[in-house]
Amino acid sequence: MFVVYLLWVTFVAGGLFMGIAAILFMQENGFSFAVLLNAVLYLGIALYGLPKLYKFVFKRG
Amino acid sequence: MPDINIFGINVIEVSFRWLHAFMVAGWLLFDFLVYWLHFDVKNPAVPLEARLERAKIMHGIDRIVAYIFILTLPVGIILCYLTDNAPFSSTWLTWKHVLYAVIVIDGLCLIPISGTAVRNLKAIKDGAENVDELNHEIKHHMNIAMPAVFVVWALVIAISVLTLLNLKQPEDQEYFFRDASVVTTVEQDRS
Repeated sequence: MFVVYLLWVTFVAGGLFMGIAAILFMQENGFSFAVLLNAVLYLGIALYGLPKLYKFVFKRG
Repeated sequence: MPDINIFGINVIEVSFRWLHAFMVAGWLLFDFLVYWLHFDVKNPAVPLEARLERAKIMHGIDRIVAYIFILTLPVGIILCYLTDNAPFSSTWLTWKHVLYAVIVIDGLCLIPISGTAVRNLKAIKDGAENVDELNHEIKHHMNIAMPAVFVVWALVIAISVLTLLNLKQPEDQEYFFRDASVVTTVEQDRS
């Protein structure tokens, strides 16, 4: 069970970190398609994982 | 972070480089083992005890793969900063992160169907009546997981090749496998 919990934490934390880093990078260095793709994909992963993690932590059983 | 140099080698940086490489190698190796074991697990002709034993081994190996998967991103990010390459500072690294994101999405597709084999085989062992249905579910879930597993392998191999082609020596930042003068010319042409 611990590994599943860790997986969702990684998806959410990693997704937010990479997504926000991509947006900040574009803010400083201008638009780039590949960086935008990173932002969309990682923030999408974080947004998808957030309710799952919430449910996993607070509504178990 | 302090530099620990032994014989001119930055121990922390080189350790993280090797750790990152071994993690990817281990990921592929363990994934191949799981793939090899799954044939017996989904085959109803194999004795139940043997299937259950293999399913448990498979589940254990899958757990190691999950830990490697979890640690790959933080280790990679630490490596980015140790080598003075911010995560999106170069084109190849940016695309590498795109490919890793696709692997994560692929992993998200695999989570709901993981654990079916052990659960169903235990139910069969405990005397469940719908044996055919449980066996069919194991086979069905494993078969629909296969394309996602192949995509993960292809992407991990693609990421490894991409990394190898852009690997630089720590000291003078020269490419290992590419002619630096040619690379510079191409990049200058683009700009």
